[in-house]
Amino acid sequence: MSRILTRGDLIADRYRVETFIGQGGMQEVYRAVDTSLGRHVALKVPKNDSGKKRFARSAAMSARVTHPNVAKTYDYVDDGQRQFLVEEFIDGHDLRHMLEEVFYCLDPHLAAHVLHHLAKGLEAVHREKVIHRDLKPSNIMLSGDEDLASLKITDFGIAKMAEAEIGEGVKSFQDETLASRTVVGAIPYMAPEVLSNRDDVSTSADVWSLGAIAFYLLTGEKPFGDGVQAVQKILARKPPDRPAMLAKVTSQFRQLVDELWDLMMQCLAADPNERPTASELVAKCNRLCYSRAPRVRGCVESYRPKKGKYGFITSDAHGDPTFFHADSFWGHTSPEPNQHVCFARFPGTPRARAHPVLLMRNAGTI
Amino acid sequence: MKGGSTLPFALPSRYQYQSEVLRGGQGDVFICRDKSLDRLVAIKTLRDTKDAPALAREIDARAKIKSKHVAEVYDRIVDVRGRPIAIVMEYVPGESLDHPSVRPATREATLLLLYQIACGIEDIHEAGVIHRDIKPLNMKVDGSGVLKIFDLGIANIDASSATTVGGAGTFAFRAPELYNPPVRVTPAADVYALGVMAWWLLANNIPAPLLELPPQSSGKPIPSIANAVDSLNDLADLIDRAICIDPVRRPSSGELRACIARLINHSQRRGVFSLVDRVHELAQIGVTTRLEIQPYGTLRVVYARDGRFTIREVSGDVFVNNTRATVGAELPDSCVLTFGPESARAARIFIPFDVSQPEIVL
Repeated sequence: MSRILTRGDLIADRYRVETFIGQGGMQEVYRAVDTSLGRHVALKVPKNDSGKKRFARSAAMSARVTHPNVAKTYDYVDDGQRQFLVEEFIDGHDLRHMLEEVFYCLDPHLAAHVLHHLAKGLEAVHREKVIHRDLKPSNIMLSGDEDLASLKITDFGIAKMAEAEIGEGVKSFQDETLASRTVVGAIPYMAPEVLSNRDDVSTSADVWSLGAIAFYLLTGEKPFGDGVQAVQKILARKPPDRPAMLAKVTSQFRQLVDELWDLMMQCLAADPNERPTASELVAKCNRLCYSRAPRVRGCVESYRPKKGKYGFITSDAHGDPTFFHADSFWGHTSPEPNQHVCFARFPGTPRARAHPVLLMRNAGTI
Repeated sequence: MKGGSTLPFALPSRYQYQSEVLRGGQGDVFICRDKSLDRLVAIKTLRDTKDAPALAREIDARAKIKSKHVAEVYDRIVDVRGRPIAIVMEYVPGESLDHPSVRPATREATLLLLYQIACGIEDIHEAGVIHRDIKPLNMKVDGSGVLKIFDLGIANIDASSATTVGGAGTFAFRAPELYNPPVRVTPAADVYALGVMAWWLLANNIPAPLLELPPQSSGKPIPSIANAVDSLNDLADLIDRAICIDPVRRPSSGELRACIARLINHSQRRGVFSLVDRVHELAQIGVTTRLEIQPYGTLRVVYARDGRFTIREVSGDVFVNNTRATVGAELPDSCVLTFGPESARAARIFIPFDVSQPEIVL
């Protein structure tokens, strides 16, 4: 497939293209070297020039926001032919990749951490009177570690650029193959007022999206499903069903899960005025108690489901196996031998103890 | 010092001059509008091109450091011969930390500020860079409440073999070893400055021996900060060690950062005992929980003033992660309490205990 840029291209006499790293509906993203300052940057190029003005506006919008949880805007270049947005390069993956390729969902501690940081970033965005309008897992970049230490919101205002396409996408739901993949991917995170009346969008639409993202992180399911079905369910303006996975939460997770559920339901309120503001959400997250004990990856070595409900995990990071109890396990399935997991490790005799233990996809790499 | 200067060179057309901020030793800082992104930037210039290496060093240092607490660099401006003559940086409005109006009002806010300074210094050190001029004048707090450290202009890139004649740090925040040329500068010099900042912020006072020239040259003893500020727990000892005359005895910036974080959260932790049919929460300092499991034994745990969950009383057969529980021991952040001797086997009672706390997110 042909790309707009190739390795070695020099943009504005300054940015040397290294490699293609991904694309959204509107733009291609490359890793480049800023030869002036000697660092990697992310170079974003719109796929066509119909949205030229909007691309410039979205650059200026994101440049107004300076916050650790928002990708930094370094530069904007218009060389007469094309426009380029130069952003902070994040050596990692987006949240969608992490959930589709690495994990199935996140345990309550990790999910709380992600929600907290996203709320902080969103608060900074809204402080600058900017509405993101397209918050979804693929617009959230993560550092490539098991702790998901660094999280950054990106791709601002691209939603505004995408408006024409959204209209098209919604119209063609009857024939989903015609609908833009980008729009379909964004639907589960779109507030009812965004889907029904695009002129009436306020900052609270972003809060709804955050609630939908948190729901997906904790359970691996979208609150209202995917595609056409999601549009109808979101527009029905009823609270989402509690997924089966949350029906029987072990006592060690119950308190935090209940607190997260309450926050998500507040964010997903059908009436925009009933949702918390990003600042109110931050204040709530500031009081959430969760563990940030460092995580390591490992593999379930043995598990005794009938009598013991416990097992051992081997890990490259530690010589001795680590003990775990089934109640510490977070995922759709029960632990199986050879299953890849991610866990925090605490001292114990004769074996260290793992808690929580998060299910990973077996082929997953971070 | 304000006012007076004009830009020593023609600005590239994308930048539009707005005003001058500060006349510094090596050059001035000008606020300009970046027309491409419609935002204000700070352009730091050199007065003399012979200082170009210092500017190049700052650019190199900044590219290595990954930190939310170090002001961002966007661009550099070079002269006709390709030498850097200015850096285009993130503009942070407002006063630097030395200004009385930006002093935090509460102890909580003070600790959070000190935590951010420690995080910034730790990030700088992790990149192998030494700042060497940590002081209130070189810091600002941005609109989101995030502390930014400026002026890496004299930062030495090679932390492993940093020697230099003289020194260009600042009075009171400068470590004693910087007054002894030829100086071998280590990251401990920044830790010293952090220790002095801790006194300045927490006690609102800097002990007299630190104000001598060179600092602590009279050999007069320095009181522990514990005498001046209440309830610092184990942070007091780390701050005392940070301002030791001997750089080797000072803690690392990371140790200080972790200790400040513990102090910030120490009263907001939550310990949860997961019993068979319910959970029991221990979340208030000074409160104790007593678990009595007949016929095996009892355990009393206190949420102590220092933020630790500590065993107060134990009788019978009680184990913490399979090690016999002892009075005074701290419970790990995640553990299993076992009631009953090993011989009781499956009849033993197992109670998981997990500790969590709010995360400090900036």
